[in-house]
Amino acid sequence: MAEQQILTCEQVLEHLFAYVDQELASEKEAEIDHHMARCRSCYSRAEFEKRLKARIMETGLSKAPERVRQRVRSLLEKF
Amino acid sequence: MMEETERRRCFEADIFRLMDRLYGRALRLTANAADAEDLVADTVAKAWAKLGELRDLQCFETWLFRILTNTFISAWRHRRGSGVDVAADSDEERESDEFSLFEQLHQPFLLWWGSPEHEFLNNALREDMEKALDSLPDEFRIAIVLIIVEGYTYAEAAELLEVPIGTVRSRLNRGRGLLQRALWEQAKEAGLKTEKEASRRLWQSNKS
Ligand SMILES: [Zn+2]
Repeated sequence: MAEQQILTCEQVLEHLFAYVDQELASEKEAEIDHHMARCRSCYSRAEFEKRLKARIMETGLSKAPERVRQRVRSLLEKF
Repeated sequence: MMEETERRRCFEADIFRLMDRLYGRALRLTANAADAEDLVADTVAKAWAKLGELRDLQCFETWLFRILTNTFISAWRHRRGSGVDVAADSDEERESDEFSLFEQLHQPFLLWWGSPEHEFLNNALREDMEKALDSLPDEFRIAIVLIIVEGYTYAEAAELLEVPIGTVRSRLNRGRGLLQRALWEQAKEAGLKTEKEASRRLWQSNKS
């Protein structure tokens, strides 16, 4: 297996959001994984961004008020 | 061919099964309850009208949420008009938008007892998250909602918004910086006036 390129913390942080969003090409992702396994600082930062992302995701689910349900119900009756 | 009443019954059941997610996404996209209600109603009406075009019923969910998102985006674009030059349209990253809660919190004087940045997120209420998100300029909020809340890829979001993928990436990253700054400002307003006090609070919450 080819020796992986050694990334600096700065290079890792540049790609941090794309890494957390799993938007990197697999080669770049592997390089960052490799760095994360050895760098506590970048690892903690990635963990933080992942947790923050999870908190943002949660906001996409809201109990629909009865008014909305009622409105949709009467809309469907007309179909 | 399915009976018309049976078809409608299935559609209705699916819509109500997905109602909280439809409304939740609509609320994040529009950032206000009245517009979210309208968006949900418009989406349901459109989906019913276009139901015949849906080939694979397995894809109903994806298809429905895409109608919601597209309906929102075209209404937003229409409302915004074409002549308006919004600040966000210069897509270079700005120094002032780069803000990291992690860097703010991950400081030596706070670190002696653990992970202040995780404590911060654990203590942040859902309404804090919503408030911070809703406070962002449209372009940034929409990029975050499409990708983080709705789970679209960068490429899909670029297609939905009809902008280059680099624009999506830049809005998303700047949006994240602005969101973290908003959360930090809110926390300070809520009483964490100084870093010292922040540290004391975190210490107390850690003890309990
Ligand atoms: Zn590092």
